[in-house]
This record gives sequence, C-alpha cells and structure tokens, in this order.
Amino acid sequence: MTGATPVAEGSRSPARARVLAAVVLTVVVGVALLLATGREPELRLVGAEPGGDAPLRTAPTSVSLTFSDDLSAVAAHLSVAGPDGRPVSRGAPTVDGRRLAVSTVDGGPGRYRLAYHLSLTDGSEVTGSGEFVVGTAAAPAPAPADSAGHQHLRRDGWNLALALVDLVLVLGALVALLPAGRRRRPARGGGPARR
Amino acid sequence: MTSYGVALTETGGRPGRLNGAHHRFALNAFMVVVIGHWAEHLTQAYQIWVLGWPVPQARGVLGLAYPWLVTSEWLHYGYALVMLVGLWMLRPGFTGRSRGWWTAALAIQFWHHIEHLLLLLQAQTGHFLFGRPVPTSLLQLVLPRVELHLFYNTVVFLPMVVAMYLHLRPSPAEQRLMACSCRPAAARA
Repeated sequence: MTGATPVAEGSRSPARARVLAAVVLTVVVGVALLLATGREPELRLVGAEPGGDAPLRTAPTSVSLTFSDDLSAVAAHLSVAGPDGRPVSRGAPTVDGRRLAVSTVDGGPGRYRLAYHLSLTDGSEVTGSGEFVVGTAAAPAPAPADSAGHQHLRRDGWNLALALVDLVLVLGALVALLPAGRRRRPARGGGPARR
Repeated sequence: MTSYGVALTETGGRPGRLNGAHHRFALNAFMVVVIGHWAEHLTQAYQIWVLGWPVPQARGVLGLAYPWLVTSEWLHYGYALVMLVGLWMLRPGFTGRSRGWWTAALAIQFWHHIEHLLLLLQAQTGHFLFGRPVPTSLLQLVLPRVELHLFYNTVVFLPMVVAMYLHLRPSPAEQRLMACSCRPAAARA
C-alpha cells in the first residue's frame, strides 16, 4: 500500500528529454564561454600612479592611468574624490598616448577614490575605479569587497577555490540531469513493461 | 520509513500538476536558470584567472553588453527570489533522501534572500547598516561581500545538486513513493 500515483506515460520519452536538457545546458554554457572569450576588451588598465597599497605621505598633484593601447580618438573621463567625498580633480583629463591623467589638489589625509570612463571608437566602453590612501594616520582602507560593491569575484585564493568548487558542482548538476546509467529493473513477477 | 510516509502524504495525496506530471520539466527549466546564473559567475572566473582580464572588466557575458546588470541590486534580489520560489514550489515533488537535501537548500536560500532584501532596501533608501558607505548585509560583518555571497550561492547549490541526483536516481523504496514524472520509466511500468 504505497499510495503512490504512477504517472501516466505521456508522449515524451524521459530518457530523450533528459538528453535534450543536458544538451541544451551544455550548449548554453559553451555559447556563454565562447561569447565571453570572443569579446575581450581591446583596452585594459595596465598601470596607475599613484599605485600600490602603501599609504602616500603627501597627496599627489595628479593621478594618471596607463592603458594597454593608444587612447587617441576616444572620449575619456577621470575623476578623483577626496576623503570627504568632494572632487579633488581639477580640469579635464589629458590624454597622452596610452596615458590618461588629471590634476588633483590636496584633500587632506584619508582614502581617495577615483573613477574612469572611456568611450572607444568601436562604440564599447571601459569603466573602472580605484583608490589610494594619503597619510600614515589615515584609517586603513576597508576590504576591497566593500568598495567594489557589486564585484562578484576577486583575484585571491578564496575566490578561486570557491569558483573551482562551483565548477565541480555545475558539472555535478549536469551529470545529475543526465539519464541514469543503470536502469533499475522492475521487481520480478511484476507486470510487463508498458512498451 | 516514517519520513517516507510523511513525504507520501504530501506528494501522493495531492500531487498537483507541477509536482506530478510536470515536475521533471519544471525541474529542468529551473536548473536552466540556475546553471545559467552559474555560467555567468564561472565565465567571470575564466576571464579573471585564465584570460587575465582586470576584475572590473570581467563582467561575464551579459555584463559585457549590459554593465548595469552587474551592479543592479534589483537583479540580485530578483534572482534570490526566483531561487526561493523555485525551491519552495518544487519541494513537494521530492521524496525520501532527496527531500531533506532540497529542504536544506530551501532553508539556506531563505536566509540568503533575507540578506539580499536588506541590501535592496538599503540601496533604495540610501540608509546603510552599521555606518558602512555601501549597502551591507548582516554576515558582511564577518565576511566580505564578494566571498560571502559566492559562499551563499555555493552552499545553496550543493544540497540542490545532491537532492537532484538522489531524486533522479531513487532507490526502489523511494520509487514507490514518487508521484512525479521524475520517476524512472521502469518503475512506472
């Protein structure tokens, strides 16, 4: 007396449906990877001044960013905010080859934030942000995750480990969705298979 | 056996179409959404660690075309809500060992959803918890946001995968209790 209600055989084949679902999922993941690798940004940030994690003794008079390619013929924006959140960058940023720079004034000790935005000639955009600390007495910068806001990954061991675990889990999910390799036979003496 | 009996009452008594004839299809559709979400995260990881892209530019697939998606609290909350609803609605179809794992995923996702609700409310009101300069969830007091929410997604997904594996490969005793379309064809014969 199990009470279980057998599901009537429908028009679909469970095995075929499972294979179809697995194929669709594989294609989705594959296309996602292909799209992602095929759309590599042409321009990358490769350096910044001031750079590094050490606090600066004095506030810089300018901030410059160096990119992987020539910045000519693009619209560029670079702004820097001081510890109180007010802008310390002055004037329009200048472009010199691969370098984007803007003059800054002293905003006092603390954490400075910068943000940049580039409109490229191919219509795509490159944006990013960063920060630096002025003064040895400045409060330590909060964890990058806080300032990063919505970044989903960081380049460190913990994130890599979690990403690898998740990759294994996704593969496990795909395996789980695949048809079982070994079918359980109906109990001996049971009725004949329906088809 | 007792737990099986409880599951039988809930699934066999009023299976409903979602947790009956359409359970396998609904589960597949739900997993397409879940794995699609993971594909985005894993693509970001691929961009960072394999392709060497700067982290701010590693925005997965959709994030490259629509950068606002990556920063949208509405999107994050919406996905958390979809996960919660999906786990809740599909739970009656699970029986036996798989039901416990699926329920564990539902419980963890419920808390994860609360955390995202807090983030959404802070983003909308502009009032941030704990004097932080950005929206902050409760366990961010212990772990940074990036690691915390990746961890949340992981510990929700892990019991889901185990539950699905057990549900789609049931023991003979569990097969007798299943009333959904995930029941192996041989058991239905």
